[in-house]
Order: sequence, then structure tokens, then C-alpha cells
Amino acid sequence: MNPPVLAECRELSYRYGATTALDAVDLTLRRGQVTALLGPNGAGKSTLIHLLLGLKPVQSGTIRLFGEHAPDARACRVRIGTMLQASGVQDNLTVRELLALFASFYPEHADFDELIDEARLDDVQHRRFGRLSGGQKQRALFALAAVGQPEWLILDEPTTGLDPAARRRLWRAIQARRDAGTSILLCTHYMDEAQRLADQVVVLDRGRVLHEGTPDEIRRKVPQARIRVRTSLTGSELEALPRVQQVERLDSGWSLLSSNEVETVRALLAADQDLADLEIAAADLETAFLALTERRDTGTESTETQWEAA
Amino acid sequence: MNTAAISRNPSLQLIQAQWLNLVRTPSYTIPTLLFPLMFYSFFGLLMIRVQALWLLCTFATFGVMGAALFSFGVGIATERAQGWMMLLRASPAPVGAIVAGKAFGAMLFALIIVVVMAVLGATFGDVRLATSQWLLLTGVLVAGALPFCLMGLALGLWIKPNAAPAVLNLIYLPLGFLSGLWIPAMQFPPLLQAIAEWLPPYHLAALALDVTGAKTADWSAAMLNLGAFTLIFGVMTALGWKRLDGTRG
Amino acid sequence: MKNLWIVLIVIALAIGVLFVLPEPTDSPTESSTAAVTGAAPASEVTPPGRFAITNVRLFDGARVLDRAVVVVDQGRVIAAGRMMTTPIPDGAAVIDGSGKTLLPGLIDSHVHSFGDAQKDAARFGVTTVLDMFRPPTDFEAQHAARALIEPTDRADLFSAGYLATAEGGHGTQYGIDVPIPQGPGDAQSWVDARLAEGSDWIKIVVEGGRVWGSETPTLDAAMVQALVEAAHARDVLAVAHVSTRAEAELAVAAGVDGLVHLFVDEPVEPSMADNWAERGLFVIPTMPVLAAAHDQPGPNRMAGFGALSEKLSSEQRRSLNSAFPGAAMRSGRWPGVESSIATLHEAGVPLLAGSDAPNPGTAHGLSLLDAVIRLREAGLPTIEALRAATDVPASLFPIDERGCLRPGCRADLLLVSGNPLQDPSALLAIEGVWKNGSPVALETDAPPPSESEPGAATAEAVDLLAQPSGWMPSADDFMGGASESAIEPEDRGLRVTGTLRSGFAFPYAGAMWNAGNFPMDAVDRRGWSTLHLNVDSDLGMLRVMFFSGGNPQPVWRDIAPADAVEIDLTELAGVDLSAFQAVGVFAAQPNGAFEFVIEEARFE
Repeated sequence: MNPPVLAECRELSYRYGATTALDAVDLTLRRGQVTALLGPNGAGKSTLIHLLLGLKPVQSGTIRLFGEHAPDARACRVRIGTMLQASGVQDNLTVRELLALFASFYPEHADFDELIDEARLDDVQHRRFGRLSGGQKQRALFALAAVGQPEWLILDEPTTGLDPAARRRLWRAIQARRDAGTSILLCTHYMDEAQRLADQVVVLDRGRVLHEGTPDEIRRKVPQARIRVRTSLTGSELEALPRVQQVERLDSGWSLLSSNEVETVRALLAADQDLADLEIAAADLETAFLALTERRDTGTESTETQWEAA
Repeated sequence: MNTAAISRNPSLQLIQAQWLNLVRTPSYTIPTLLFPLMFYSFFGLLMIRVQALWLLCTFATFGVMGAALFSFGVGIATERAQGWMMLLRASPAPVGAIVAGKAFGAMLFALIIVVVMAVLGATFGDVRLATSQWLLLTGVLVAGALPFCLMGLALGLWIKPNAAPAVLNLIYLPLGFLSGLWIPAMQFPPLLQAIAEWLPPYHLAALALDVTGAKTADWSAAMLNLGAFTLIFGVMTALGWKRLDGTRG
Repeated sequence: MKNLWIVLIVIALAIGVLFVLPEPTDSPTESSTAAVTGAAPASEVTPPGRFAITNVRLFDGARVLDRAVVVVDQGRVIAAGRMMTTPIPDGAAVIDGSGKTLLPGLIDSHVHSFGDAQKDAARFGVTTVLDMFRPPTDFEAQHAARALIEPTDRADLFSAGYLATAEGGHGTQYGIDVPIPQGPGDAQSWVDARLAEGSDWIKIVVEGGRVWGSETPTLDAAMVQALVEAAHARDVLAVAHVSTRAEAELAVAAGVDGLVHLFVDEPVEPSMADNWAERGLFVIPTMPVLAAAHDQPGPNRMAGFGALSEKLSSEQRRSLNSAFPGAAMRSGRWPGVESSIATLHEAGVPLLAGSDAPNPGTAHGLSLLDAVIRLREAGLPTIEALRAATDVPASLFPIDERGCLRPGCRADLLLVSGNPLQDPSALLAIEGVWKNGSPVALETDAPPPSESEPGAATAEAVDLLAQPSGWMPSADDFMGGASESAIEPEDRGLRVTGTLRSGFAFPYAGAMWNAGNFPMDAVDRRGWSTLHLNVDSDLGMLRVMFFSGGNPQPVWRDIAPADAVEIDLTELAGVDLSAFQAVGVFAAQPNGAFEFVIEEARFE
């Protein structure tokens, strides 16, 4: 059932001077899947990507790509297409010229016109990269990653700066390649992106893997909504409600973080019919991650139990 | 050689990319080409016409040095800042091809500078050399760009991208002057003469002068100096490249 | 892709342009370098005689250039200028002139050149000498030599040939048969005869002898004028020897072009100097011989003399060490001499450096350096003193291509260490001399006197009377005394007549015989042991004086003239037979007229 292994990291650690960017990360990436690396800025996603690509030397731990090669060998790279958070590229080359340049690095390449069409860059294909808008640049960078028809696409924050329509088109492009058999590693801080695209989600925070699993599994662990309510229930009673991950006392009542607000509210209404000022809002990522990390910091057994129960 | 094969060769593509980059950045290209030509026209053709040949050799060296230093030094530093270097390094592009593409750009510039200066010298400065001498002079200077490419590369890898243009300018002009490229080192007081003989541009100019017969030079000393210089900067480049791995981004 | 083609085209174009660039023509005067076909740089073959002296301070006869280079090829200067603007051609051997000064080979404007004088001069950086009196015997060879630009170790000789003097006048006492001009009507043919012999100009003697304490016959104004006109008719210079102001005025009035001595009986007055400047008259002050005659310190006063003196030949030493008779008495007049120089310079009269070597106290070559320094000591700026030995004589005398360092000039070079313009004694720090572009050996083969081996040099027996021309009258009037003498060859021998008068501390009058070619020439006569003398005279005593070793004090022996006398030379203390100069037979007392005949005189 398990697809073959694409890449493996074992006990991978990396430090910049005194700062620990990755802390004994264990990771298995499988072929034919979209793996999302989810985490806030500074979580270590980019560092992990750089290590996988051989842009940084391995300090401690091991990496294996395609089962055997060292990550910086050309034999590896020629099977990988990369899209990095580059603020700039050769500003003086046109989109088409850049495609031709990158295509020359690979044994085979996709059709330039198709790529340009897919990225909706037809009108600007002869324009110099430096003169593209931010969104156009992102789409062009994706095309450069894809031009070599690699087995494995590594994308670092690919939809940053894209308008919603463009985001969705890129998602479709990614899915199309996954359907065609390409493996994809995707760094993102967008939960919905991870949920929509990923077959496997790895949650990173401060250099450690917090969670790993399918999007559904993760969703259950990550707060989806914030519920505000005035109720006569006690804190511990509130904490006992299903899918509640965090309870906070406010001046005007209570604030609950829930990984499934429907279940929580149903239980809440059942428990207190006199509640008032009920507000339900989607939990923003920062809040969600804060909750996750706070949970982790406190390290209380109850927390663990809660999650397992969920 | 079919055109498809050419366009599929990463080295040729990188060379072409470098060419396009140069051609499309007139703000860099034109001063690098014009600066030494202007100086040569002014000093060698207008003011001290009798020395047109001598100054041709020394100002051509100056121009070649500048082309190499700046296309590598500033170019690399800027590209580091932009993340282009990172993208290239992550790609299957061979590292050698990356460097070669840049070196080619510098050498192409060197070729253009030397040839244009030669035309100026021959037309307005009555400089006359045998064809074999013209060719050898060009060959020596274009080949001589390589140590300075390495120097620029090393500096570009070590200096902060913002500081790179300023630092390189601070090095370029005094280095050129102290090497006797503007005023012959023989006119210097003894201390400065002694300094000049340690500097690589002095030796490259000496080889150029030797080829044209303007002044005999000690080839072994010059090659030794340029070789040692290349080695030092080669080491610095290797270390600088490693250092690149260690930095964020 | 098309861009790659563009790149290729650009490269091809650039290289193609190189093929189109013009090549040098064959003319050697291109401002670029000599054409080199073939790619080999730094040719190993150095064309003979092509060299460059680099980074040197250059005095080219007119101006001074720092950090200059002079390029010599085939005996001529082909380039001279600043290092920066003067290319050095292929194959030139490079001589580093850092810290040194390069001057044109110097010109001694007043010498008398015999024997190895030209060689000695060259060794001291004097590459051209202007001789003011010598027999024209080898002029053809001299003219031929100086017309070529061949390697040589001799200075070029230009000469007046025979001088014009009165019968019995100054110049006739040296035993040289000087043709005497017979009168103004004879002037032109006399001049023509000199020019036919090879004289380069005409020298006229106006010398009454007063300054030297005697009275000599001299040419009168009419004769001088006739000679001057005759010389000018043939487009040659007419120069005059004078020793008094009156003689100078006479000569100048007669129209001479220059004076080859400065008169010393009175200082030159500014009005006279202005007059001379207007006429364009030049003066060769000959300060070295004047200094010797005025008891001034000689060349050995100059810093650097010590090292240079090791290079003196024995002849140079001899003349240098000779004392000028009567010098002590004249020393008081020296300040006047120096002030005269200053006056002449201020008025703008061209001054030329000349030594009058090999007179006593002077030496060929060395004394010209002394002359330059003396001009400076008299008040001339150093560069003017140097011009007096280069540019000025070159502009006045017919000596093309010399005294200069411009392209086309002969490569007669003097390289000294240091800067003579700041420290004139640097002129003595000679590092190298080139004549016609080839180096001149600075050392001489002659050992210094102290090293001469004892040994039997063979000197043949000489009958002094067999060469009447070896004798000359000699009396203390030469030293400022009042006696006089005359000689006349007879069948019997040599008749010597004269009058002894008080005046000199040790009055003497008689005849002197010179052992060498020139009066007081020192020659090696170490084989001699005895002088046989037989003098017939009524005098009770005769004094025989031996001059040798450059010592002005003779060694004497008094003899009674009655019988034949043999004087054992080896027993005479102080006689240096290795440098024997002259022997004289003199009446020493009592005052009054005297007469004796030397019937026999023989060295064995």
C-alpha cells in the first residue's frame, strides 16, 4: 500500500551558529504524493529544503534521495525541479529565454508554449523577467521548476503573492502533475493549501516535526475555529466539550479554540441552553499554531489525552 | 552542429545568458567598455601621443582588469542578493558551466576593449605592429583576464552584496595606478616601484609590453606572479563558495 | 540561440579587425617600436652598439631632464627624452642610470695634444679636444678618424695647427719649427698654407712676455688684422693668445673671434666686457693653468680626486705635478681673475671651459673637469659651467654633432654618479665614458709611479749637441728675474750668450736641453749613468741643473768649465731618471754679460 520512498531524513539537525534551525528531524517522503511542509516562518522549512537540495552541507544526521544518492550530486538534481523564494532572478532574460536556459540543464523538457499557456504568461513571454509583476514572476518561477519534467518538484511557498484565481490555477497545475506521477514537496504556511493539495502533511515548528499525517488527521489536531460565548459553564466543563483544544477566560465571557466547531457548538448548546453572545470565527493560522505550540510547551498529559481522544 | 544541439548545451546556454545579461545592462556594459577607452584616448592619443603604444598596452590591461573584476565581483554579489545564484546551484546546471559562462563574458569584454583600443591606437596614435603582434597582444590580454575573473569571483563571494560595487571601485582604481598602468612604474619613486613589482596588473601589462616590443619583460617572473595570484584567489573562491553554503538564503 | 550566433559573429569581427590593422613600415624613425616579425618576444640578440641608459638625469648640453632615457645605436644618439615619452627599441641593452647623471662627452677648448693626450682626455670624459698649437704632422689621420663613427678610445682632435707668431716670439721656444708670417701681405698665403695642412682655425699669438717677466717679440696690430681678415676670408675662426689687457685690446680691435686665454695683469672692466659681448667675442679663460700659475690649490682640492687620481697615466701625473715657475709671486692676483670671470659672465660674453693642458699643474682630461668647477667657483651657475664644456664650444667651433645629446648627435657620453648640478664634485665620480657609442676603458695600463719596477731600462747614449733643436735658451726671466740668454748653434757646438742681472733670487741664464718631445716632457732614461760635458768659457763657474720627476726644483751641480766634466747621475740625489725632463747649463755669477760654448754634451 505504501508508495515507494522518495527521500528520507533521519535525525537531521542543522544549526546556524547558536541558532538551531532543525532539531533531529525524521521524515519520510513517498513517491507520487504531494507532501506539504506546513509551519510558520522560521519553522525550518526552507532550511530543510536547502538540505534536501544540497544547498547546505549536512551537519548531522542523514539524507537519502532516490534511495541512494548524495543530495548535491548532479544525478539527483537532474531529477528535481525547484522553485525557491528568490526575490530576483536574471532580470535581463525574457521568460522564454529563461525557460530555454533551464531546459538545457535537463535531459528532456516540456513544451515551452504549453508551459507558458498554463502559466498564463503568453502576453509576457518575451518580456524581461525584471519587468514582470510579482504574480507573473511567481508563475514564471513555477514554469522554470517544471520545464525539466522532473520526477520531483520542490516548491517553496509557491502561491505567495498570487491572487485567488491564480492560486487556484497553480493548485490545478500541481494536482495535474501529481496525477501524472510527479512527486511534489510543497512548503506553505497556508492551511487551506495544505489541506486541499496534500496527501501528506508535515507540521514543522521551531525545527521539530510536530505532527505528520494526512490532512484530515492534522485538521483534527489543529484548531479550526474560535468560539466566543457567554456561558455559565465552568472552565473545566468547557474544556471537556468535544474538540475543544483551548479555553480562555475573557472579560466578556469565554474563548474556545476548537478543531471542529460544529461538534463543539452542538455540545455547548446541549450543555447550556442559556448561553448568549455566541460567535464562531475561523481560527487564523497564527492562533492555530500558537495553540499547537502552547499545547506542546505545557506538555500536560491532559493535553495529550485530549488529542488522542479527538 | 545542429541548432537544437547547441541550444541544449548548458554551457552554451549560460554563455548566451551572460552575453544577454551584458548586452541588456548598458549601465554596466558601457562604462566598463568606455572608461578605459576614454582614458586611453585622452592620455595616449591626445596628450602623450608619442607613447601611444605604451599606453595602449597599459590601458588595455586596465580595461581587461576592470571587465573581469566587475563582471564577476559586482555581478556575483548582486546575484547572490537576488537569489539567482541559489536557484542556479539548486538546478542541475554544472557549477563549472556557471563560472565559465561568466568568465566568457569577461573575456569577451576584454577582447572588445583590446580590439577597439587597438583600432584607436592604430588610427589616431600611429601605432604600428605586425599582425602577429596584434594577435599575440590580444591573446595575452584576453587570457590575462582569467586571474582577474578569479579575483572578482573571490571578492564577490566574500563581500556583502551592497558593499561590492564600492569595495571593487576602491580596489580597481588604486590597484591600476599603483601597478604603473597610468604612469609607467619607472617614473615612480623607488618605494612605489618596489610595490608595483608585486602587483599582478603590473605583470600582465609587462607581458603586453613585451609582446609589442615596447619593453622587454621577464616572462618567468610575470607568470610566477600571475600564477601565485591565481592560486591565492582560487583558494579564496573555494572557501567563499563553501561559505555560501552556510549562509541563509 | 540566435544570440549565440551574434556572439560568434562579434568574436569573429573583433579578431578580423586585428588582421586589418596597419603594420609598421620599414622606416626606423616610426614612433612605435622596431618591427618584429614572428611571435618571439624578448629577442636574445642584441644588435651591437645599441643600448639605452634609463632612468637617468640627462644634461644634453642645453637643459636638464630628470628620469630620462638616452638610446644609442651605431655610434649616435637616436633618442633622448623622458622615460615616459621615449620608447626603447627592441634589442637595446639597458643600462640603469638611476642615481646618475648623463652628460655629453665634454669638450676641452684649449689643449696642446701630444702623445697619448687624446686617450687620457677620453678616459676622463673629455671626448673632444680643441688643440691650440701643435705640428700638423698627423692631421690627415686625425681628420679621417674624427669623420668616422668607429669605436675608439681617443678624443676627437680639432686643431689650429701651427700658430701665428712673430720671429722669436712666443711659441718658437719649444723647438718646433713654426712657420712665421712675413708681413701683412703674406697673411693670406700663410693662412692658406695652414688650412692646407689641415688647421681647423687660425691661432694668432699676441704675447709681449711682460706678465711672465720677459720680453718677447710679438706680432703688431697690422699683422694681426691681416691674419684675421685672411682667416675670415676663408670662413674660419681667428682666435688670439693674449696675456695682458693691452694685448687683448689689440686683438679684439683687429677683429679676432675669441681669446684663448684670459689676461691677468688687470681685472676685466664691465665696459670692456659689454663691448666684447656686443661684438660676440668669446673667451676661453683656461682657469686651470692660470690657477697653477697663481699658486692656487690644484685639482687635488676637489672631492673625489683621490679615487680619480688612480686612473691618471704617468704623463698626466707628470704634468699635474709640475710646478708653474713663479706661481707664488702671482697668487695675490687670483681674486682679480675670478672677478673677471664673473664680470664677463654678467655681461653675457660666452665663456668656454679649457685647461691648456699639459702645462704645469694641469693634466689632460682631469683639468677640464677642474675648469668646469673653477668656472662655478668663479660665480657661474653650474649649468652654465657645464654648457661651457658642451653647448657653447659646439656652437662656436666647427665641431658638429658633438657636445650634445639630441638625436643625431654622436654618442659621446659621460656618465657620472650623483648630480653635478647640485654637487659639482660629482663630475669626478665617473662611472662610464662612451666615444662614438662604444665604451672607453677608464683605467690606464701605466702603473702609478710608486710601483715602477727597478730595473735596467735601456736608454741609449744621446749626443745632446746632435739635435740643436732640443736646446732652448733659458733664463730666470721666466721666473720673474731680469736675466736673459740666447743660443746659437755653431760648428764648435752651442754658443750661449746672455746677461745676468739681479732680480731673481738665484740668477741664472743659459741653455736647457729637453729630453722629451715637448719642453719639460718626462721620459724614462733609467739607463743613463753619466753626463759628459765640455764647456768652453771664461766664467769661473757654471751651474748644471737637472730637471726630473716633475719637481720644479732642479738638482744642480756646479762645475768649473775649464775641463771636460763627467757627472755621475746615479750619485745625484733627487734625480728621477724614470721621469727625466731636462738638463740645463747656466751661468750663475757674476752679473753681467757672459758667453760660453758647449762643445760636448753627452748622456751615457
